[in-house]
Amino acid sequence: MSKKLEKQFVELLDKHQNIVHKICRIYAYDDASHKDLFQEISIQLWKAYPKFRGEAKFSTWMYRVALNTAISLYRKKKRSIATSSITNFEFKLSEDEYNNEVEEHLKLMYQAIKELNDIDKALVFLYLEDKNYKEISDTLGITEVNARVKMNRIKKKLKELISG
Amino acid sequence: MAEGLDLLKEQWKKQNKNLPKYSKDELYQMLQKKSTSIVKWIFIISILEFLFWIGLEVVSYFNDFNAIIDEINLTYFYRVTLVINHLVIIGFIILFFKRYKNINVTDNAKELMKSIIKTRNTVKAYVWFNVIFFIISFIITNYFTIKHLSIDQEGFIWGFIAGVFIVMLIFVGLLLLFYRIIYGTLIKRLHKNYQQLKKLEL
Repeated sequence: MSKKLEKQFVELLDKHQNIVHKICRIYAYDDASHKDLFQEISIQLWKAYPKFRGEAKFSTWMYRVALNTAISLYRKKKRSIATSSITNFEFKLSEDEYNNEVEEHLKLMYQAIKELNDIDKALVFLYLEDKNYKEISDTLGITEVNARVKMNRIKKKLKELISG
Repeated sequence: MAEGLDLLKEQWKKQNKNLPKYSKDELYQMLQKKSTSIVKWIFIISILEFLFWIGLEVVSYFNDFNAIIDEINLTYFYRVTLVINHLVIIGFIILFFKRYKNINVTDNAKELMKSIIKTRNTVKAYVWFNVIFFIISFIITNYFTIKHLSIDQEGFIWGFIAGVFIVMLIFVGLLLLFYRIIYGTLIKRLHKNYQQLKKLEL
């Protein structure tokens, strides 16, 4: 593939890399697996890029390829020290928002999300990204009604995980 | 105050400045790396599977196998099965490439998983076809070999049958083990996720 195309792609990837990082935050369990997943998503995006015709927004297209990689293509590497850096790898509040109680609650919430299965994580991610049920159902290939029902169940499950 | 997931949603948007950021150089470097996606591995292993069975045929072609076949009067049977086998192999290879090409990372998640599993199943069917074909021709060939031997060697015949049977069992056993190890670990997660999505439709 041409250098020009590659340059164009890296510009776009750079501009939207936050999306990929956020997916990695949901699926990866430490810094090394974050980088692994980020890399695999970037490669898959790059491989699919020549077919990207610009019908959709780049970011919308990116959500789909990135999530597909996380739940369908990516192979987790086994690591013996997998849990060691989890504490450093949680959701960080910005400094000015600092509030102990809120932060504690968010930490628990984050840990609970980590316990969900891959599909539930995808739903949570899209929900957090403020995607509507139409987009969620289109990305995953389920009906809107099912996406809504499932989301309500996940919310309930997360509540139970936190209070339990 | 919002709670639970909605509280996280409020904070979620504000986290951008706390996310890691890779430089463009790092991004370039990442693109040069090799993909480790399961589709790539399914592709590589499938090609090896096709080559293995084709290789097995080539080996038997250069062996004394033909002489034995002629001796026990199975030449016609052997030729017909060879033609069928070749046609089926070609059919499977064409089908495999068609399925492989249909894997599209921009499909929705469910469709993507479905097409990966379908591609995998094509090769699985191909391998089972070969195993069953192998067993049937093995039994027929050995039946005629035994018939060809003189009847007063009965003890030897039973020993021969037992030997053949054990070889067949070991072969099929190894194949099953191969599947469990290679594909079990490779697509276990994908299968699980696909079942999760399918369950949602019930």
